[in-house]
Amino acid sequence: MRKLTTLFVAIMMILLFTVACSSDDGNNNNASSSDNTDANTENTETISGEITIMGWGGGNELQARKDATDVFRELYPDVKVNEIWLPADSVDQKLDAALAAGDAADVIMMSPDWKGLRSQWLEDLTPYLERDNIDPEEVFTPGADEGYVTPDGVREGLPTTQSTFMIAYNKNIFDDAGVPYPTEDWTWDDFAEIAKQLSSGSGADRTYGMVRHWIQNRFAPFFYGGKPYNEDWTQQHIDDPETIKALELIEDLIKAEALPDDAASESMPMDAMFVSQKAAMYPLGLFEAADLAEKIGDNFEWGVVLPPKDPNGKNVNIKFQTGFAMNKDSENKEAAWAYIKTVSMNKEVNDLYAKVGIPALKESADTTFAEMTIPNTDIKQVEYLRGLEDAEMAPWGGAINKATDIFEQLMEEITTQKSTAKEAVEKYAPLIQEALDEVHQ
Amino acid sequence: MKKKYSSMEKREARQFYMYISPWILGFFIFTLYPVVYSAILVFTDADRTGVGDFIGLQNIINIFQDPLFRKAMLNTFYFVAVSVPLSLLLSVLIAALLNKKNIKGMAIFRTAFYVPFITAGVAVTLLWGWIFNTHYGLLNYALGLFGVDPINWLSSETWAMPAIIIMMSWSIGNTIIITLAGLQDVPEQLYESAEIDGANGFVKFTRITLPMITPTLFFNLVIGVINGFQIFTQPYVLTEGGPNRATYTIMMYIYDSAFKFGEMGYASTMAWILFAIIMILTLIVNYTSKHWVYYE
Repeated sequence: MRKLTTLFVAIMMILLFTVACSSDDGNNNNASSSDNTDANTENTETISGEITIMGWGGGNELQARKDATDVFRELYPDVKVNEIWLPADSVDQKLDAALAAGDAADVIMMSPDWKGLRSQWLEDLTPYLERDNIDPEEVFTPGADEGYVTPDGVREGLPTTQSTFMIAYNKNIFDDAGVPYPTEDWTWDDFAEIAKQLSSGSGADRTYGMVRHWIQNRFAPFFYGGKPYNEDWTQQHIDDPETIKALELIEDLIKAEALPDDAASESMPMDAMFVSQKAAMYPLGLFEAADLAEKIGDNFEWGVVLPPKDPNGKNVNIKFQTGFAMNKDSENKEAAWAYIKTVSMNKEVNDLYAKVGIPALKESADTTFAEMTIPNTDIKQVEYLRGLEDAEMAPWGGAINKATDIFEQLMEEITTQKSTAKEAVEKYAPLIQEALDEVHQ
Repeated sequence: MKKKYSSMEKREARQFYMYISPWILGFFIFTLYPVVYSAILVFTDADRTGVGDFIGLQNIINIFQDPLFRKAMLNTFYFVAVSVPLSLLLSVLIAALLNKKNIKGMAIFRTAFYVPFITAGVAVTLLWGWIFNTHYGLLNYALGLFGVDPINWLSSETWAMPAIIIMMSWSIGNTIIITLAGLQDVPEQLYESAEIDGANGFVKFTRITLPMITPTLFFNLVIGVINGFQIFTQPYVLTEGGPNRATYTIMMYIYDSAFKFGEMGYASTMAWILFAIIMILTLIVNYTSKHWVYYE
């Protein structure tokens, strides 16, 4: 028995020792790779070697990423590229595990809405941009490059694709209700009035002014010029009068049944609700525009308009951005930088991206993308491009996931009519503040 | 005196350890090591990488001041308190029916009750989502035939947890099969003796069948309690813990803390508290079993 106990203890010690050593190794790698970074040195040698890239996606978007990698291979035939593409919902865990273990890819797909979540593992790309004399403001589509530089000046990545929202509307329902089509100078008060006018019927036969889309919760704080938190997310602004007023608008629309309540919104998928003409309006992201257009087919006439304006005259919009970052521990930083530069700024690559999102390269966005229409429609994609510059970065997620979860609870109390907007804010604003404080501790 | 092993015995022992080693190593690496490591994490503020500073008992103190932990725990107790007795009751009743002799197609009935248990949890849960649909669901349609107004099964704080319990009651095939095996083990002569003494069906069931299957019920109760406290997939897929956290269980909170909020230390602490609760309840059930479980 004593022998068995000794054996058990010995095995456990070996395991713990192995893990401790591997952890130390990772730290040492971090330190040495940072010390060895000499990005200001002009690289005159041919870029070669091997890199691994890791990203996520599916369908056409993933194909565009793979095609972009093929373009890189043609430009840099001496670099062997290994690709790891994961489904979007499994990226976080696998990436964090790989980063912690010190064997993450050289180039990592990233999003500014990570909000510094993985900053410690990402290389500052500023020296690389300076070395190659690249001015992001000249190169990139206005609004595309926002959020990639941390408040302390570290550039974590370069942009590749962006997506914004338009409000899609069913012209038939507008015509039947005798309501003029919305124009881009409309306000959120106009929106609320129109949504109420378009709503009719009851129970399963109810037609709603607008579907309940997951993006609405993210739009909500901005309706009247408010915001969920300050620039460096140290202070919540959910209890600001502008934000409360915006949440009261949602509350009012639910009560008036211009927006479906929880039971109604769960009765069918939100896109099906718009396609089956049970909702007159739909916040349509670029990423789903082609899919929705195909579902609608010739069933009814529809159009798109920029989301309503806030009191400052700005069309409220949210953007989702995807870029690429470099792993600090990469052993082939030159090839990694070449890959990032190619998939972010190469014209051929950005023209490929135009099929799945707003390309980062201004030249491609203004030409290839702007000339394209949403498939199966004559609606020009350029409308989405116009919304990008003023769009707010997706406000929730990444390092502030806990605050995000609390905000979702706040919204749920409003949409289930458990609390008024004011009551919900009183209850949850301190908790959101607590969650933000935790991030900065 | 120390026993001397022959060379054959030594060779056999070596072969034994060689063949068993993949499982032993697997156990050490994939089970024991994570368990030990999670116990260490209880005393740290480890983030999503599993690395953090030592913070003593702070996680435990925080948990007992955390209203969301209390809410999740209460929801879990509610689920266990209703679903476990209900599943035991239903499994006994259904197993008794499936134990009837001289009924044609009994194998089909037994299979039909077992199939939901082996059907993929997520697929079944999504299917039930449609059954519970307020406007177009089968359940509200059936209730409507009896004049019952549509129930907001999944969007009402009152009905969401009962909806999950109803759904779980549909997939008790395994409990039914175990209970059925218990019923088939009851000696036939006990019933024959009772019949000679004039016992009716109810008396035979309560005085013979139930006492004789108490070991089976005991097993099902323990397994039911252990599984019940770990309910995750169904509320995660069906209601995402809502509405307003009405179906938010402790396993969902552990998952969110670890993988959504990146609080590995906090999540590990909750996991160990859950383990302690399950262990205590299992010991209580085990202790009381001597008063109600009958062994031949």
